[in-house]
Amino acid sequence: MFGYLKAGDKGKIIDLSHVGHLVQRRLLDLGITEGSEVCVKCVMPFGGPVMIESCGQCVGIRRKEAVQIEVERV
Amino acid sequence: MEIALIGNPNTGKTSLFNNLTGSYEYVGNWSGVTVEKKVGVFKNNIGQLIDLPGVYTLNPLSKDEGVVTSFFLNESVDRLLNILDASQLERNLHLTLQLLEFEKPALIGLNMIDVANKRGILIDAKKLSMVLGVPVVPVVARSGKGCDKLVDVISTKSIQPINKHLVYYGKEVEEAISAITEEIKGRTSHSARFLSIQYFEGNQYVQNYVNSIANIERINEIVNILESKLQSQKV
Repeated sequence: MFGYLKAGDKGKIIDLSHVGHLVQRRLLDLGITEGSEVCVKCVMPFGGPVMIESCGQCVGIRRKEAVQIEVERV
Repeated sequence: MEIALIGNPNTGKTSLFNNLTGSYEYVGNWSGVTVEKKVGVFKNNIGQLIDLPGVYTLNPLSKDEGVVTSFFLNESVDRLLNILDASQLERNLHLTLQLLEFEKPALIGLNMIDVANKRGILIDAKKLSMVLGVPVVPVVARSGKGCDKLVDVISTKSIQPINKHLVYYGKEVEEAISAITEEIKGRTSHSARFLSIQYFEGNQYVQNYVNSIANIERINEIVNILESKLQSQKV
């Protein structure tokens, strides 16, 4: 779960199926899918969004959706 | 001659549009500034340039992305000018592959090479052009560098539509593509390969279009056969 990762931590996405369909599609468009390596760039306070980095690009997603992504720490 | 500008969001399509046509469309450094198509005339009168909203894929999620897909399906265009953000090449090439499947004469404007160079990314435009089979012109839309060369390539070179299949989707999918091609042959001027692949991807606009020109039951049958074939492979 993304919830356990702190800013600077790296992980590999193992399951995206619990995330909403639209978010899944958009992440796929950006080249982020199961098996991609991601790095948490920053976590905004008070339940705010999370910025993740993958293949050199940063993407901001809601905390609610971020915690639904199953991630394995690497 | 009608030339469509297409590329990822925030890669400088509208900047280039303003530069090539001399207009003053609203430009911003964030995604989703352009949400409708805009038409302008080239400064040297070689034809019309059509500015489209930025998309990550031709399979739309929102209405402004749908503008691009319906433009492709319902309007005629002579050439595609694909703008890539050189500093995010990998992500941008995903759309390029879909555009090349459309099998219209295309050329690539490699934008923001100055930004890419500053980040230490060097791109071999010649090699990229060789691999993709279309001309690649490096430009900096913000300052106008390379735009003259781009106009030269658009207006003089007789660009051929490429028929090279860059991606092989596997035996089952390729068979289904041939089956759909057979079904819609002669009923559309669009590339059957493009329509089939977008249909399989679940592109609603393309599905409606294909269903309106072909026998829905036959198409559904092909899709169901493909689905069960792939499903059985998974197990």
